[in-house]
Amino acid sequence: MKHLKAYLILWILSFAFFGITGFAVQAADLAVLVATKQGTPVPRVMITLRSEFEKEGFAVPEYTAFTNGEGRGKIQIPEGMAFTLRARKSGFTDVEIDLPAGQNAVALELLAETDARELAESYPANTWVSQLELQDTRFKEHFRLQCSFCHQQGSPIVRVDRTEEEWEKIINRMLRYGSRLMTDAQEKLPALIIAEHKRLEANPASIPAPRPWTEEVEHATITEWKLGEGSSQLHDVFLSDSGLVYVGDNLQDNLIELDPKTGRTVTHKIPHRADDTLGGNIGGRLKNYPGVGTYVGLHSLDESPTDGHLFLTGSDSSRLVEFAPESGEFILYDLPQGFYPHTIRVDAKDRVWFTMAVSNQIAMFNRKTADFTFYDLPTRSFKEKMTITALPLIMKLAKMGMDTHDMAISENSEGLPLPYGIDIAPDGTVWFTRLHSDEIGHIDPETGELNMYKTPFLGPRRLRTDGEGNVWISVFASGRLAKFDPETEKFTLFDLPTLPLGSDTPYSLAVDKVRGHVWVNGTASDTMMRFDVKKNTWAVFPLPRMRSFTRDVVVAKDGSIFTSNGSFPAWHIEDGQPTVIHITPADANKSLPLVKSE
Amino acid sequence: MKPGQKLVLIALTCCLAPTAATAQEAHPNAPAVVQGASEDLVVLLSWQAPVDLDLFLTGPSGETIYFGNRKARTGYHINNETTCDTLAPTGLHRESATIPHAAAGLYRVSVDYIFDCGSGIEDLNASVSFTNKSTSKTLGGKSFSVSLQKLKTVAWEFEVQQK
Repeated sequence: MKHLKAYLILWILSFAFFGITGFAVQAADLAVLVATKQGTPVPRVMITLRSEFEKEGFAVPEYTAFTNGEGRGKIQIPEGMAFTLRARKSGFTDVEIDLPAGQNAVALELLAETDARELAESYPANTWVSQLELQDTRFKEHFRLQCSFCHQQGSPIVRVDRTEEEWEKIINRMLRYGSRLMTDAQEKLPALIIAEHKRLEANPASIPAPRPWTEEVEHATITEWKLGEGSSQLHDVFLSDSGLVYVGDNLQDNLIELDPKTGRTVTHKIPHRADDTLGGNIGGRLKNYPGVGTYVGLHSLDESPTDGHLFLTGSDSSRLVEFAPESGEFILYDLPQGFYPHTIRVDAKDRVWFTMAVSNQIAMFNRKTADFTFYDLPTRSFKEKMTITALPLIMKLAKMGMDTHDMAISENSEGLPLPYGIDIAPDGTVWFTRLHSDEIGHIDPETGELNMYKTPFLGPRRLRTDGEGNVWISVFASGRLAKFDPETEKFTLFDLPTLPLGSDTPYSLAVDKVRGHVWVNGTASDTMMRFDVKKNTWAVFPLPRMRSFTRDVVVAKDGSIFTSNGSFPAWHIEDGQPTVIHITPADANKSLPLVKSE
Repeated sequence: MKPGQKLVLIALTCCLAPTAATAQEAHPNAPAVVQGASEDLVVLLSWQAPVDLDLFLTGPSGETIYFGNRKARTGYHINNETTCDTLAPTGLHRESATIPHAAAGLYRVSVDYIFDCGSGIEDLNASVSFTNKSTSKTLGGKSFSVSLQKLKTVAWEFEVQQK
């Protein structure tokens, strides 16, 4: 949405005005009234306060709230600070004003956006992607799976007018980063995407409006902290039992610690060994990123239930990393075999489980014995078996400079089934996804028994179990939510509330086991979505920044959630700034501590 | 960490070196130091071979400009792009970027070589230089080799400081 100050009428209103209508204003509250030019109140307007104030070691929070049915909203703000206030609602032009310190009430006028192009540009990326016609549904789902791994499709920076040669070069770069776009699509996509972008750019009115914001946003609040910088990628986020939030900067080897109560931040630099190479030891995948600062490749994180130590996957170094919060020290564990540790979970017995995405394994680190156990997963063909067997040699050659990205890639990415998300069920067994083989799998740690289940959809990305042992899966390529019942071995599919239906690419999810909610990342729609399992209803919370590419979500005991904007590259984000985001729904129980939920 | 922050720290330990040249002599991998904040700087990539090289410039904000993202939010931008289609038959080939009112901080130049334009050339030499736009004074530069399908991730780094 464009930031126009034109047509802005600003009244500084007295407490008396709000008093007449019964709007209680606290000393540290900013009261906001939003109306049209004709004076009609505008409900469910997103109002966001930002400050340019900077202090070393602190991230100044940005505050977002929404107006109610009477066009009124309030935000609690620190006293004595100047802010910028932005009002945003789909179908209207953004309004942004400077707000001096001490001001406690403001009224804004919103103008309806009538220009079709401006309207379309204000819509989230999923609405544009929904209108792309790319050969057929199967081809398009493959495109969405492989070309939305790191950033949104359909955004302005993706739609920039480019030549076929430029698209070929971009696809080449994406393959070097690890995209598994099938060979056929590599050849067809440049011409197809140019033609489709041109068609849509010429017909902005064809872009459908996103889902309107509904009543759940009223009284919800969002706090956002700017962390990292333009070459960062805030991949996964974690809320610890101590109440500290940790987020991993995958591209700069930084574990960033945030105290959400004070905004205090500490950046812990993950150490690497002297002979480690920039971009990582396994093929130097990220060396192709100009702003790269990683040797380790911090991906996913979880906490030990016994001593609160964090365990991190160092994907690009094939390393497990332990972090002791009490001392700030790291321990590096070089894995005795396998490649690309990915998503990680620690079980109740303090065993650290993680997927090995490239070597097609599930790994377990037993803290008591300091031993690793590896579960080799089945392969889909002899060729795949041979490829995985030859991985140590392939990786060695890749490190020496051999190109691996220009090998032929099949539609189902044969050779790379990609074990991905993982979680521990209440009974202590382990569930995981395999993104490229369209499967979920189950390991019983006590017996070692392994079972795989074919999903009736493409691209199961991350998963979580609920309190009853059901497995919830984000259906990335076709924008849905799936539930797997281990007793009946049946999948149930749910439409996400994102409009147009099926246009989102949900990267991840989390289960609030206490309240029976499943939180899903609206990775293409700039939203977080909450599914009430018993009521079969959705609540949708829009995020303040466009192009918020969220990949992880963690639930707090009070019912709020944390996520992070991990767009890679970060300059796709509306202002180019990665953030950690905290959403507190109106029904959160604020009397409970802000620590991780069960 | 900003690109090459580790290298910045190395540079700071030898910050007595007053010029880019002497800093480079002391530490070949150290970024050149330029007293050019607020000046308009031009980064020029040039090469002789008939191939398509691509210039990437990452600024202190962490944003990278290249043919896929031609202008950064803070203003630095790609000026011209050479492709196989626009390659001149002879002479030096160039891509360049301008940094208006250069912000202080570390800049990284990367160079990619994706298309050989039918030349069959696997490896070639290229050079990068940067100049003060208003005075045309060359502030530094470096020659290096690039290889087909490999990003020269850190072809050149320079740190712009306040005068």
